[in-house]
Amino acid sequence: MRNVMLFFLMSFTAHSLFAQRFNFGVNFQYHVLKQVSLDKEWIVPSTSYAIYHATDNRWKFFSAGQSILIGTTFQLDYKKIYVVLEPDFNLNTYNYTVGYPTSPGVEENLTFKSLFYQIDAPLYVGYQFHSSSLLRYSFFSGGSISVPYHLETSFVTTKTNSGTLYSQFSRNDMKNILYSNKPYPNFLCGFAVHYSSLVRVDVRYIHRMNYPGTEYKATYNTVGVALTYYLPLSLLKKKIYYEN
Amino acid sequence: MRIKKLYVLIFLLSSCTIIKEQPKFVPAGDYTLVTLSSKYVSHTSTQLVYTVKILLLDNFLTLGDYSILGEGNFALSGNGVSAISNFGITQVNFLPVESSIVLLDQSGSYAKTDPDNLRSQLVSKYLSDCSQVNFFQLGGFSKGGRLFNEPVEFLTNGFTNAWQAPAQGLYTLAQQTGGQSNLYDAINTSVNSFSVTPPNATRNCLVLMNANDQASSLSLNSLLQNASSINMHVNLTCVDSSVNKLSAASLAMQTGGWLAVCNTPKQMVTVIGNWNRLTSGQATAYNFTVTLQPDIALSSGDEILTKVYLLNSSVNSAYLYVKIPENENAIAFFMAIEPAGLWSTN
Repeated sequence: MRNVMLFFLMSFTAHSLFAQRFNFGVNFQYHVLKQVSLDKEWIVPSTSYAIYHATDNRWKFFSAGQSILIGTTFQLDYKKIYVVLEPDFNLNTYNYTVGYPTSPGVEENLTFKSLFYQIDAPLYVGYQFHSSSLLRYSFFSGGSISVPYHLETSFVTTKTNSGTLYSQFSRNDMKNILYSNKPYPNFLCGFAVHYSSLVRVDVRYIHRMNYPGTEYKATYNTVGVALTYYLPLSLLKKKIYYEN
Repeated sequence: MRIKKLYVLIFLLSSCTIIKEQPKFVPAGDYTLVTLSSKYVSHTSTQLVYTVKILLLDNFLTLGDYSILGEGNFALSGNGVSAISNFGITQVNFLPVESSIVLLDQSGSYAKTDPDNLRSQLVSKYLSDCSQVNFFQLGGFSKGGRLFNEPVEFLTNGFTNAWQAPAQGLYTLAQQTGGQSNLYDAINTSVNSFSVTPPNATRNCLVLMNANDQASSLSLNSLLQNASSINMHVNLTCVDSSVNKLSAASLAMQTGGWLAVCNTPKQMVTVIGNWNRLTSGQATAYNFTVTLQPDIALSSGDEILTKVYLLNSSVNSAYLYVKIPENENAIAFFMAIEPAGLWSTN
């Protein structure tokens, strides 16, 4: 993965030599459709003596967690191709619900919540396949590196269990199962709509490329929306393909 | 230059720390009284004297025992007037155990006594702790419930020290509650299981008890004879405070085991969390002599149950059981030979 990222970075650098336009802007992203899934049915954490039943690996709106990203965008255009580097600050949360057997046919539902402050650095290439007078449409694909630097873990509590959950279970039980402190790579791809050279709206899919731990394979998939505003700077502007 | 190197060295040394492995999380517990022993000394028709060792477990497992109380903190209640004398604190060393059998009561339901199934976490901890030094068998018992085998469904194939697989089986047991308690039959099964262990080995049966025995074919007296014949000690943890304390205390005390009667799940957590220490470690116990002046005249064979509790406290009560020997020869016998126990004292 490191080699792939290095390739893209070098491509970005090389592309800058031939670029017809350089854009700089800010981007806002909101990811709300997430899937966290584990490959095994029973989870035995290393931090306690409990055992959990992993049953819910579905895609969820909001309830699997949310991510809010804000950052900058560096975009180089050459004809129909563009390359983007988007360093972002990411407030990233994941929720995962497990069952804890308490009696015949009954399991107590526990929702582990992990909150990360992390730095993301997506780098991707796009291809603009269609344009009209105001709008252009493109697909893009690439990767990103996520570097978490602050972690908080907690339970999602209800009125009935808020007083007892933390005394009965460890909130760190998902360590090295659903999360770790190490940087990790992601694959991303999406579809974008460009409005002139001012705004870009895209829908993107992100897939984590490795697993947080070695014993359990936790898979992360995210779908979100990004909004990019380009600053009206005339930087490196040359005649580009859509100008008459 | 040398001083600069010294400063750098001191800085590096002070910044180095030995990274200890973090202990695993266990649920929160509560202060709990445990009866280690109550031993007959002498009696007349109007007076009974016996010695007692009880333990107050601290609510934090790492702190061991709470041993700073005085005689004035304890009170006794029962049939008659009891007085405490010769109060003191003693160190108890539990004899190393080579093999243990853990029996979990699957009768009825966990709903009243342990609705959050905390026992599975704590028994798993015990298996992890004891597997480092000895072998164990683990099983659940009930009659007419959801178990596939009766009187005991063992999760292990014979004695083992591989604890991970049976620890996961504990959570399967949580889904197999129901039926009636066949406590005596289950413990008697342990007697047979211990036949494969060396004759001189310390034999320990740890029982987590939900309810009184309801469906056993064996009587308590027969069980006591069988257990005593192989020197098996029955350590009872009662998680329902409405159990018959007399029979529970009789079973524990007459086999040389200990007894804990818990009022809350947190007290159960504390007792099970200390199982390993109470079977092969050390404890700091309160020991004292009780002099009982009963309401009615005493005679041979009488069984006396006395409750000891802490004043102004919500801690559970401990129960002291004494059986007056059957005849004069037995009196001499009991006075000369201390009943087989699990410990030695300093």
